[in-house]
Amino acid sequence: MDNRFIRGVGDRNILDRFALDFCAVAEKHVKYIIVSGFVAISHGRRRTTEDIDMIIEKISLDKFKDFHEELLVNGFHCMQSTKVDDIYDYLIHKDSVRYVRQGSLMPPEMEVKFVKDEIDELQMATRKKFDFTGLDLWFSSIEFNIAFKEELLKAPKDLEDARHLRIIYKEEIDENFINEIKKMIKKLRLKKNGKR
Amino acid sequence: MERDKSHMEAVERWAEFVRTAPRNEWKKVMDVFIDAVYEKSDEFYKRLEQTEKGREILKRLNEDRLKIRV
Repeated sequence: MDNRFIRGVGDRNILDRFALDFCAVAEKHVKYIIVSGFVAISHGRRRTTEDIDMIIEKISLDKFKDFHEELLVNGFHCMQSTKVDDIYDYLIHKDSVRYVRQGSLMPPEMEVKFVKDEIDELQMATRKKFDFTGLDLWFSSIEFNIAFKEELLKAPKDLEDARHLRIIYKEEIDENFINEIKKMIKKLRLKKNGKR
Repeated sequence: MERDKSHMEAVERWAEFVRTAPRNEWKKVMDVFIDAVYEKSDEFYKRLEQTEKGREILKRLNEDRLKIRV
């Protein structure tokens, strides 16, 4: 555990506690990143999100079984199925699966999906931890979050998130990298979906 | 952007809960969830106040807020 992030888990709010508990299990089994709304919220944006989005590297069914079993032992439950083979089937077909606390059907939820293309692979390779969040978690880089929000998502809340992150990291943002990511998004996500 | 099917299932599940559960029950879940977002935000700004770099960022964020209001 990085000393910069040490703080009693007991005094955490429900969202942070959920994310930290889940990621503590994930860390042991798989490389992961937290992306999208939770990144913005962890940087002070006052808005809600229905779930916390996590991308994990593609792993074998056996490895996923170990990960899933430990999630169960630690009080999580998958909404889609109790059968690990079915859950893995969702992931391998590029769908996400959702985990909540056992005994709860309600938020917070962790939406988990496998990396699906080279954009996600680069996202994973350039993952970061951010001191200001106070969370010892792996996030996708600020450049990736800005590029996705400005180029792909584009809802008002996403553009506001991007603006907020741009102000916070004004001196550190690599604009060339953002443009490179946007090009990749156009090529791999927008053209594929017939959006351009 | 198109969301995958598990997202819509989650939306439907929550709507069903709101439809069938007493208001007090779903409001309690929602209140804790929304409070957490505000607590996170407050904690973030407190962390910014603790360092020089953080205070610079706070200044920029405040300037931007004022700019939007004008």
